[in-house]
Amino acid sequence: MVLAFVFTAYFFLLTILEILSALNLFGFEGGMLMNAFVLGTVTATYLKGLIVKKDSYKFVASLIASAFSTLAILVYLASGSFSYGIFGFIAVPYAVKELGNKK
Amino acid sequence: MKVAMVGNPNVGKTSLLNALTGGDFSVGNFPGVTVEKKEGKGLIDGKAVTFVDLPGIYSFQTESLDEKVARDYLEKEKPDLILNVVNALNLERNLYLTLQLTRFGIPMVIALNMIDEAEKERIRIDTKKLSEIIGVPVIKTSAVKGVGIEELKREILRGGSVPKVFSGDLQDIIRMAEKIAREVKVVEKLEKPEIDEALDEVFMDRHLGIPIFLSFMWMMFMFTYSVAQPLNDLLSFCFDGLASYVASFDGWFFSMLGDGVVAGVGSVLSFVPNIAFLFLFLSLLELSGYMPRAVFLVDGFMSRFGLNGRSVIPLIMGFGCNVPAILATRSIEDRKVRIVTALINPFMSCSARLPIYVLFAGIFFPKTGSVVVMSMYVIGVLIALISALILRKTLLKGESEFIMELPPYMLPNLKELWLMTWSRTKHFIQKAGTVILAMSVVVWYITTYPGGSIEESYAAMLGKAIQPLFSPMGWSWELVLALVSGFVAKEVVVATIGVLNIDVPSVMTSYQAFAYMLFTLLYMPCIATIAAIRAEIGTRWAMFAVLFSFSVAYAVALIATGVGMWF
Amino acid sequence: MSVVPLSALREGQEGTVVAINGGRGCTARLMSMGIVPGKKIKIAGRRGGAVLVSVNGTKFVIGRGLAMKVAVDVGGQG
Repeated sequence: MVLAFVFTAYFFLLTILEILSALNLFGFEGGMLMNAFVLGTVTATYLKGLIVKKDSYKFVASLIASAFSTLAILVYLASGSFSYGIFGFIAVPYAVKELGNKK
Repeated sequence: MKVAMVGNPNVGKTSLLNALTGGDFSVGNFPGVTVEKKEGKGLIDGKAVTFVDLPGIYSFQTESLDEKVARDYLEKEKPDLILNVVNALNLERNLYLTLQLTRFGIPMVIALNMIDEAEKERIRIDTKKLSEIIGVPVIKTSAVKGVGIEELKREILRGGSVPKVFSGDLQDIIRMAEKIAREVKVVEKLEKPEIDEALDEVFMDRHLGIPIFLSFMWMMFMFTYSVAQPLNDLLSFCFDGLASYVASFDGWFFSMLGDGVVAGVGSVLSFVPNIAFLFLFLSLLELSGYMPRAVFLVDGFMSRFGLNGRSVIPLIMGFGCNVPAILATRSIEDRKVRIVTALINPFMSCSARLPIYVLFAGIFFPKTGSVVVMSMYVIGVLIALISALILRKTLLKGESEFIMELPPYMLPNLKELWLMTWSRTKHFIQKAGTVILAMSVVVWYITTYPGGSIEESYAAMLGKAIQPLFSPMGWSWELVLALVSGFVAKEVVVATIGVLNIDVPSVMTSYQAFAYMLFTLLYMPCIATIAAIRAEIGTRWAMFAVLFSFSVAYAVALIATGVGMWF
Repeated sequence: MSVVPLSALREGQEGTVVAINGGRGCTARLMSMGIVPGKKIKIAGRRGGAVLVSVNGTKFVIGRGLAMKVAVDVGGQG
C-alpha cells in the first residue's frame, strides 16, 4: 500500500515535470507531450491499483515504467534528448522482484 | 528425406525447427498470397533432412488459405514424414488436428512440445499410451530448454510409423480427441499462472487498456526513430560520401553508378537500421503475446471503418515510414482487410513528408505553422479511414470474421527474436532493393539527360508537359517537377525546390501552398512504398494504389484551391 | 432455458454453446478451436467490437460477426 502510494506520487511528479518542460514553462524545456502521456498512464495505473486494492496494477505499471526508463536512457545516449521518464528506473527493482516471484 | 512440420499456431514449431537444425538452416520464402511455407535444410547425424514448416493451422475442414497450402502440400508433394508438433498445454484441442492428419497415410512422429510449461502447470501426459492409441512414436520435447531434441532426431531418422486412421466428420473427430485426451492426461492442479492473470487484468483494463497500448506504440516510435537514428545517419553519411566519390570520376558510367545506383539504393538502405529496430520491437510484441490483446482493445473502433483490430499496428507504423508498415500487414489473416490496410497506408503521413510541410508552413503560415502541420496528419488519418470504408463497401466487400487465440505470455528468447527480426529485414532488403536499383537508374537518367542538369533534363520536359494538368491549381512547372521528383522519395521534393532555386512566395499564394501540401501528403506513394505494396499484395493492387492515391490527391487539392479562392 | 447469440452476452456472463449457425467454413473454424456444442463458454470481456471469451481455460478474441453466429444457452438468467 505504502509503496503504491509512493510510486503514484513520484510518477505524478515526473508527469508534471515532463508536461512543464514540453510546454517550455517556468524555465523547463526539452520534454515531449507523448512522454508525459506515457508517464501519466503509468501514474494512472498505479492509482487504479491503489483504488481497487490490487497488486497486479502496481506490477504492470512498474513493468511499463522500467521499459520506458530503459528506452529513455537509450534515446538520451543516441540523440541527447532528455525525458523525465529516465527517472522511472526506481521501479525496476520492484518489477524484477515480482517477475521472479510469479514465474 | 523430406519432413513436413504440421501443428496449431503457437506450438513452437519454428523454435523446434531451430533446435533440430541448430538454427543453421537457410530459410527460403515462398510467398503465397497471404501465407508462406518455409523450407529449412538441416543435417541430422550427417544425413541431409529437408524440413518444410507449414503454416500453423487448427484443422483441415475450413477453406482458409493456410489450410489449403498445408493440405495441398501433404497431398501432392507426399513428404516422407509428418512431424506433428503438439502443444502439451492444450492436448485435446491439438489432437483434433493430429487425428485429421492420420487420413493422409503418411508416416508420422508426434513431438509433445512445451512439455516444461505443461509440467509447471502439473499436467502429466502418458506418452506411451498416446503412442499406442495413435500408433506413432510420441516424444516429449521443449524446444526452448533443449529437452528431448536428440531423441526426436533419432525418431525422425528412423522414419516414424504410419498411424491408425481415425475418420469421421469434425464432430466425431472432436469426440474421439477428447476421449483420448481424458485417457492419457492427468491434471493435478488446474490453475492459470498468476502472472498471466495479472497482466491480462491490467493490459485489457476498461480504462487503462488503450492508454497502455498507446504508450507502447510511442515507445516503439522512440525505439525505431530516436534510438536507431545515429546508425541511420552514419549509413547515409557513408553512402553520400561513396556516391560523390564514385561520381567524381569522369564518364557517364561513373555518374550513373554514383548519382544513380549508389545514391538511390543508398538512400533506401540507410533506412535499414530504422526498419530492423522496428521489426525487433514488433517481434518482441508478437512473441511476448501482447499483440492479440491489443487487437481486442481496438477492434471496436476499427470495425466501424470496415477494418479490424489487426489493422491498427500497420497504420500507426505508417507515421514513421510506410514501407515497414506495409510489410507489417502480413500479420492480418483476412485477405480483404489486409489489402485495404496496405492500400490506405500511404495516407498515413510518413516522416519523410514532414520537411515539405515545415518548408511551406514556415513561409506561408508563420503564426499557425504547427497547427497547419498537425492538420496534415489529421487529414491523412481521416482520408485513410474514409477510404477504408469506401473500399470495403465497394471493391473489397465481405464480412471480416476473425477468431484469435490469446496465447500465454512468454519472455521471448534472444535467438528467436533475432531470427524473426533478421528474416523480415532481409526480406525488405531483397524485395525493395532490387526494384529500387532499377528505378534509381531510370530516375538518374531522366534527371541528367539530355542537358546534363536537372533544368534541361527529360524530367524538366516532363514537368512542363504535365504542368497543364495542374493549371487549375495554378502551380508552376518547377513545382510540378518537384512533385515528379518526389516520386523517388518524398523528401526529394524539398531538395528539388532547393536545386531549382524557386522563390516560393512569388509563385503561389497561401491557399495554393496549402493545396500543394495536401497534394504531397496524398499523391502517389514513393517508389519504395510502391515496391512494398507490390511485394505484399501484388502488381495489380500496386498500380491501383498509384491511381487511387493520385485521384484522391488531385480531388482534394482541387477542392482546397476552390475553397481557398472564396476567401 | 433461453438461447441467445454469443454477441449478446454481458461481460462475466456464462453459458453453454448450443449450436453454430454459419456456413461450413466458419462452423469448422470455431469447432476446431474447441468451441463446440456442449462446451461452457464465458465472456471475459467486451469492448464494443470483439468479444473476449474463455473456453476450456483458453482465451479467444472473437470478432462481432462471428460471435453472432454462436448460439449460447444462458439458462434462466438470459
